[in-house]
Amino acid sequence: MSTSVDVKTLLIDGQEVSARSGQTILEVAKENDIYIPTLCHLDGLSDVGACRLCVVEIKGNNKLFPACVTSVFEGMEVTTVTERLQKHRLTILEMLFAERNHICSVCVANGHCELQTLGQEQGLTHVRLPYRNPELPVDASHERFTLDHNRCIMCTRCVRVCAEIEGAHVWDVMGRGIDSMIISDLHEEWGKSSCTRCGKCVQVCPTGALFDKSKIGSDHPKYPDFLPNLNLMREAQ
Amino acid sequence: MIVMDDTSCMVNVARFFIEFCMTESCGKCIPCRAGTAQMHTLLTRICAGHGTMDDLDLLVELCATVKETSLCGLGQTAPNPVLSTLKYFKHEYIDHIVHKRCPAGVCNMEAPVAAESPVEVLA
Amino acid sequence: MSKLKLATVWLDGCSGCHMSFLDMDERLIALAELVDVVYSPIVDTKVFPDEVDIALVEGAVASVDDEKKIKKIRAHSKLLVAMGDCAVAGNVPSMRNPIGPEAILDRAYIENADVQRQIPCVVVPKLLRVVRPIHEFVKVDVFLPGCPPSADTFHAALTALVTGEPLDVPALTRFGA
Repeated sequence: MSTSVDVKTLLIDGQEVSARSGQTILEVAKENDIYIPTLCHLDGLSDVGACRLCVVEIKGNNKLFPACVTSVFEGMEVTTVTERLQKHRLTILEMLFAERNHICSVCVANGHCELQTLGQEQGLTHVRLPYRNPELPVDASHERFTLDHNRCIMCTRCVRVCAEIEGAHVWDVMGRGIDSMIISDLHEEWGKSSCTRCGKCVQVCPTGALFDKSKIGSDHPKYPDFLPNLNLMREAQ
Repeated sequence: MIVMDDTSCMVNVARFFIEFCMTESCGKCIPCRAGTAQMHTLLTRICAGHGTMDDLDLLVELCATVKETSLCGLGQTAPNPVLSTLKYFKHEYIDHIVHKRCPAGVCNMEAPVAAESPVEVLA
Repeated sequence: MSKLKLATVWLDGCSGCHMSFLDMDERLIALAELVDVVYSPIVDTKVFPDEVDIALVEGAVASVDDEKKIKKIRAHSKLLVAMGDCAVAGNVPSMRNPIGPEAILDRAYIENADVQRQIPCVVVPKLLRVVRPIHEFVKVDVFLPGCPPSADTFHAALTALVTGEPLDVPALTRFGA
């Protein structure tokens, strides 16, 4: 009997796992309850490999590979936790905290923030890098939501969810390098943009950069889990 | 390979190249976007005579992370000018940091780094 | 065993960390068996002692006075603990950094003042251009993030520091906790 499923067998952290051909290391790790830290990845969206937190080591290669966009191959030996990886992950988190103005104590996402949680989980107690303290705008022109660039980490989840799931493609990235910014439409105020007011971007934003105006204090849990379900229902149609 | 004589300050040369990479970075991945900017800040600090040996250690760590975790070739090679000047001309870095002097006479040690220096504002 | 000398210092912060420290309540009595509080905003001592075993510092470094103090504290303390987000990361005091001190002073003392519109210039210390966490000025031994760190965090951390047991800070607290 011929089968169209091509099965690959590989090792992740010494654990033997099987995967379908074309799956990424991250997908396989998740299926087998092996934790790999991620930030720009979100189940239900395409992957961009931008945050570099999911980098892993593959035996036989000195380079590091982002688990979210690296496909598995037969006999692959993956290590997700090493001193080298931990050090890089910590430095990347420090870069993020120092890049813009992340003041956890006064943030609407305090306690519900993926950046904050990752910091604690990776053992970050202070940022050694000098804080950049850039002067950034806050776009509160939308009647329901606010975009605070001070808290944005440029994960582009909002860009992807708006383009791929909502189909509106309101969000995009402007500029380059350290000056790059999220913009709505062609850099218009969010309130005057072609936004459909669906609020998906707010739910997928890992920090307090996008938030609901009706939320006050630090009471803004986010529910990005709707995405895989929504995709599943759409596929079934 | 670039040919230079003793009138080129190696720290300043490294800063020049990092500045180039910083402005060329597309900003997609964090290590290249934020890492090159941080390296530029540290190198500017060292050039101005405000650097510390801790800054130098931090710079080396940043080099490793940017080099090994960046998404594309720009970030992966951006730290090279810093690494090679550190490899062959570490004494110039030490001169800037410890002795507050630029052997090539390029860096102006009197220049305050705008955002770094503790300027007193109340008269 | 002689008691350890404990100092607590209040730089540019809201004193919330000190309040949280006092929230240890009855556990303070047990702590008093182990340490002498030799310098603190809640103790009437004017000068920082020459030899301190553990110094807990609250607040960021925002003025020339803060800078002078933190250097003195470091010189006279065996163990320096950055207590709370302001000391660890700048936190709320550092929110003025993007716009600069002039804008803040102007807003507070000129624009929003009803009478006597002038920026104070006598007695008060000069402000630094950029508010920074204390580890950018001196070496810090222990970082206790949190805004403020909870009384339980203080208790666990101080117990570990006094007894010399290992201290796992990320298990206790985080930024903004």
